[in-house]
Amino acid sequence: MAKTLDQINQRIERGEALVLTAEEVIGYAAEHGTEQAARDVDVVTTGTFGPMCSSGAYFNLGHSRPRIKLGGGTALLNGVPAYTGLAAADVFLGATAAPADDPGNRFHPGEFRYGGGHVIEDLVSGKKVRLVAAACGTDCYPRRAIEALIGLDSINEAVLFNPRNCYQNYNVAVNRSDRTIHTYMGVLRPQLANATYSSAGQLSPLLNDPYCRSTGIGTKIFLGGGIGYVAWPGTQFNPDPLRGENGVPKRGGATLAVIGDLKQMSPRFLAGMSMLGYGATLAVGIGVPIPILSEEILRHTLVTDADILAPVVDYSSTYPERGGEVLAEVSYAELRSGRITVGGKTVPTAPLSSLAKAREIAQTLKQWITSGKFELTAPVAPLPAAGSLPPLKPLNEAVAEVRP
Amino acid sequence: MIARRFILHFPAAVADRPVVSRLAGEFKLDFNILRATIDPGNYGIMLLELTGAKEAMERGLEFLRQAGVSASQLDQQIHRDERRCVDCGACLGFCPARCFAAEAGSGRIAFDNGRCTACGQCLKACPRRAMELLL
Repeated sequence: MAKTLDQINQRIERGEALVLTAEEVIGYAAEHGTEQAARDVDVVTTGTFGPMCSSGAYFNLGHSRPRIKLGGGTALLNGVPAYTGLAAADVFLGATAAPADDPGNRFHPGEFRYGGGHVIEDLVSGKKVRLVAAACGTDCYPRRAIEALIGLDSINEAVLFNPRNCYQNYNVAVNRSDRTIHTYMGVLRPQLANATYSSAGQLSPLLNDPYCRSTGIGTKIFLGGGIGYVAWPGTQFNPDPLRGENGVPKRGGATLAVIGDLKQMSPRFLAGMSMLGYGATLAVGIGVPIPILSEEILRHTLVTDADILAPVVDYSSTYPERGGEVLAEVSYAELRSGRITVGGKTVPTAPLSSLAKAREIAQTLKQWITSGKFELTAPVAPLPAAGSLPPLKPLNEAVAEVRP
Repeated sequence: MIARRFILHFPAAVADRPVVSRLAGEFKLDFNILRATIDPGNYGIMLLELTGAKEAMERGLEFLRQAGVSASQLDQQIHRDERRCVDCGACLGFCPARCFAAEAGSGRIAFDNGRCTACGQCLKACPRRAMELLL
């Protein structure tokens, strides 16, 4: 009964493919049974939209006359510094980059109203961005300063390239201390007054492919409203997270590095975010198609919010001190209900990841596939398998070398 | 009977006079002060919920205007910029008045400005800075 990717692509080409979202497939399998569902369903689409700090874009800005070597110089885009340690006309802008004159947390909590993520949003919105750059001047690149308005239509390449997106699962953040804290998981009120979480749960790409059976390097995906690819395992990729009996990770787990043409993307699915007291970032929309090549792959897509557990972590002490204490495990069904119980206390919950956008992404990808404009790709290499990587390494401070 | 929420602005010259109490005495309007910052001799702001007959409320508001107190309806003062909101839901569970709710079907975040008490918590909880409050 196993289908091949070629057969699925032929069915997509003929307009015969049965494509369901990761939510729709749950009902389909309940009605028809998993065996028949595995035969019938060709592709399951997933979606997620949330702040993903390890994101950014590189640009080739073109060459001015006379030429300027941005490499090794400085470049600001709307006041936000871009990395210039590349060739003359290439720069990289990270989502969390802050303007040089941003007061940061000097007046706590800082607002971080504008940063690299917002510049990327402005660019995909069609806005012009002000480049202010300086260089040392060389014989072949004599110019030492330039100011220009650039837009996606005026530069050569604009490529979204995110080293770590799409975390398989994530912490639920709470605060056990006596004061309000401001974190990348949002504002957390003291004494467990609220909890935040950030996953699309049963719609999330890698929770539907818990062992990365179908997703690999080279997998074509929905990225920021355009087409992208899985470029590499994401940083901090952990193929051996604590898993439930269903195989679903109960901790962080796998991540994806993704790449795609920024010029095709849309501000509907790339949005600058400002985390009070923490910093600026970028919310990224990602959808991964899962070809139903086997009943096992299908069974993994049937995961529901009730089957996915996430750890509740104290962001006032355990997280900053890199401790391991988990206060509770709660399901995404509980998180979505608006309240969870931690240590006997009822705690209201709020997501940072948009369920509405996740659904929109899964539906859009489904529509792209059923209309024949998006065919599936086979991975060119697998993501790291269980047991193939050493545990994540911490960063230890240098210890002064003792010489006899 | 109708209930409405208003933001009242008291100029310094009015801030030390009894004004709100007369809404109850003369116009039979029930009032509930949700928030207030009024120092005698200084400019003041009050967030007020009024309940009473429609006609009495109109006369009460006219009385406030005559007294030099401007009153603007609160649901016209709090605003969500729909172009900025991405329905993330960070505002859920944050708003003490429970103005925000996740819609079961779409997952979108509904905003009911009628419950707002202008506390301003959502302005900062929102990572998109989509909330605006004009006081």
